[in-house]
Amino acid sequence: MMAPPFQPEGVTFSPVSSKLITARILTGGLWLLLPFLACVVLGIVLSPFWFIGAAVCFAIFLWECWLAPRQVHALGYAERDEDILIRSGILFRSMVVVPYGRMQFVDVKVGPLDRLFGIGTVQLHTAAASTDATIPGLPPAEAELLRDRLADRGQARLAGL
Amino acid sequence: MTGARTPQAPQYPQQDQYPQPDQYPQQNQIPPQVAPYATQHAGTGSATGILTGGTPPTASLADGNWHHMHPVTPLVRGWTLVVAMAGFLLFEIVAGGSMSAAADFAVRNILLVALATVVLIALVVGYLWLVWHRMEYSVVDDVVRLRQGILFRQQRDARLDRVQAIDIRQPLVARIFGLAELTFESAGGAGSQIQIGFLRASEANHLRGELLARAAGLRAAATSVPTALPASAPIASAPGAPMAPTPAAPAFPAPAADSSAGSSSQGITAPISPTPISTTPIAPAPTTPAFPASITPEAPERQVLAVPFGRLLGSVAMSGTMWFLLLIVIAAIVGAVVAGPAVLATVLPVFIGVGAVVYSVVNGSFNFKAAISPDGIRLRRGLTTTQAQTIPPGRIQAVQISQSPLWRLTDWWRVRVTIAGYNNEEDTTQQQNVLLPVGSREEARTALWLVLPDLGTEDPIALLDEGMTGTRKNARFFTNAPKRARWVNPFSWWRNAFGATDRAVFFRGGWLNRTLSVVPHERSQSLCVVQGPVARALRVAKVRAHVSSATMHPTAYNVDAEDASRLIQDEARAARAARATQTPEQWMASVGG
Repeated sequence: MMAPPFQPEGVTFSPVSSKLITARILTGGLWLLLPFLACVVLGIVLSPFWFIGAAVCFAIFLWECWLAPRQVHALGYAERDEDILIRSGILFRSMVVVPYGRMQFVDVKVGPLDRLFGIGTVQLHTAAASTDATIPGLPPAEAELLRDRLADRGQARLAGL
Repeated sequence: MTGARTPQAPQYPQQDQYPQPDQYPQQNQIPPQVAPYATQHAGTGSATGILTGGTPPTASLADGNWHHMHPVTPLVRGWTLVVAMAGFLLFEIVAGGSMSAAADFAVRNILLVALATVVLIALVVGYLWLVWHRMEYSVVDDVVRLRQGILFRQQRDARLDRVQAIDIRQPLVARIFGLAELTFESAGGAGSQIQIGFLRASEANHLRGELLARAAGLRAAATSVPTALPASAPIASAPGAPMAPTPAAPAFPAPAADSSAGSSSQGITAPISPTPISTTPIAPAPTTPAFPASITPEAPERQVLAVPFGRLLGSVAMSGTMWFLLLIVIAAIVGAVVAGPAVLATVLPVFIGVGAVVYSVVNGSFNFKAAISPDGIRLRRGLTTTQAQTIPPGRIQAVQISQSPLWRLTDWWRVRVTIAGYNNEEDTTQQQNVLLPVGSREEARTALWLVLPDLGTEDPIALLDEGMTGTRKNARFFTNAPKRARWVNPFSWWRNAFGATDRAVFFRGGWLNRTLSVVPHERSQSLCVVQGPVARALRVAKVRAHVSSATMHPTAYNVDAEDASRLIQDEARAARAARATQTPEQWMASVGG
């Protein structure tokens, strides 16, 4: 249960797939692997001080392992009659409200790692470029269903600009 | 109210020439006594167009055929190139003798050089001619088309009812030739406009009138428009005005018409439309506004705002740029005293830069005039490059009223707007997004009134006063940020607030630079609420309305978390209701038709 303003009355947020946790940890791990290995090699070849760098990389990785589940569990979306709510963040929380009638188009993106884990990202676009409405970590089938639902509702409530 | 006004001074002499402007649903909802929330207007004299000269075309340019631009277009577009080439040639001829080997060669082979020159000129002229020849525009039904390109051909079609604004620009060189360029803005982001240029100024003017009339749904909806004015029914069917050609628009700023006709009648009775209306036979208002295939008369207009040159200069002198300059000057003098006069030379670039900024502001806002017409808002401005913008009803996404620190002395304000087509063009020199470069509080109110005639309150002046200069004391319309927000906004927490009416949501903020952002409910694209760790500890949150603008971010900073929650909920509800009744894109067509 979250404090206001992130818990509107009578709204239950749907969680995203927990596969996103593994995907995020793996993505982060891959990014850290290169500097980690470099530091280890340099530590062996040059000076043991480089092992500090490797340790830092490992610490960041551990931190990510701790953070990712919390972040993913904080993600959620709720489809209401007229709009969709997307909530995210633990430390820096945010919630965006996008009315269906304002949506210009909907993106469904699936990257190579996403495909491996069977998840995808749905992104909503309005006429305002500053609208940041992204739902990561949806199973492709669910993502496509959501997209179709959104498109239908958007059409029914279309209201120009 | 209309009964009292019509006999003495109809604002629009040619009222029945153009369908009833009170078909805007927005404007019908305004009780007449509330309508002008400024108490007086600068409506003196008729608005004079910047576009003059030339006889009006005898046939409509929007006849469905492809038309070329004016033949002088390449010269106007590429005059810098032409001047550079001429200069180069002149230099070669005049100064050639004193030059070295190359000049020697040129002198000895004068024929060869002349031949090369001729070939070069022929190539350039041929290319320019081809570009010109391949560039054509046409207006078919409710679509405007432009095709161009030599190798890579491109044709762009834009639906007229998707218009966001139509601009007519006249750069200096074009003015010399009496030409103008028409830009049709649609909401596709940067580079989404259709530029038709150059045309004879009168042609551009008439084309604009035609495009706007069609965009308004006059021709397309000719069969469905007739008398069905659902929204205006209460006004039109008032007893005593049975079938009068719709009594003058109740919403337009004619405040003085009822009370003091003598003093301000000039602003109302002045015949406004420069167009030869007599050529266009038009049926009386109650019937279908059927336009013959010839020329659509330009909609009449009335000037409501103007910025005198003195005030423009004053506003520049009191702007932040000048403070910057003053600081530099002081620093330079100190530097010169300490380290010798050579330091003075280093500030020269600063002066040039500041001069350029000042020039662009003055150039862009020179002779600024705003007028209102059934087509929407018309803005005219410019010193060397003049431009006339027409913004149809319902195209403005958000308004921001702001005041830089020194402007408090004179109570000057600046009004910026957001229009979807202009989004990504951070073009400060043309100042396209400025609805009022500088004006008094009353004029700022009038500017906002042009966009939003109904603020959804009985006392709009009090609302705006509170929004513009108010603080957290005596809050009436606004919900203030709580006192604990001072830990994150030590200065501006005193001003940070938001307010909402049935029509729009208001965001107040700014400590040195006061700002008030107004977003009509139906124009907010989405909303977001953000809270960091410190804000959470203080139980405050930031609420932002997303509008289709790259530069305007209406935000309620660090308001109480409960208030933020309520704002999000209420705004979602209000936006839904407002979208259901918003102005149709074809603003003259009947609602829902």
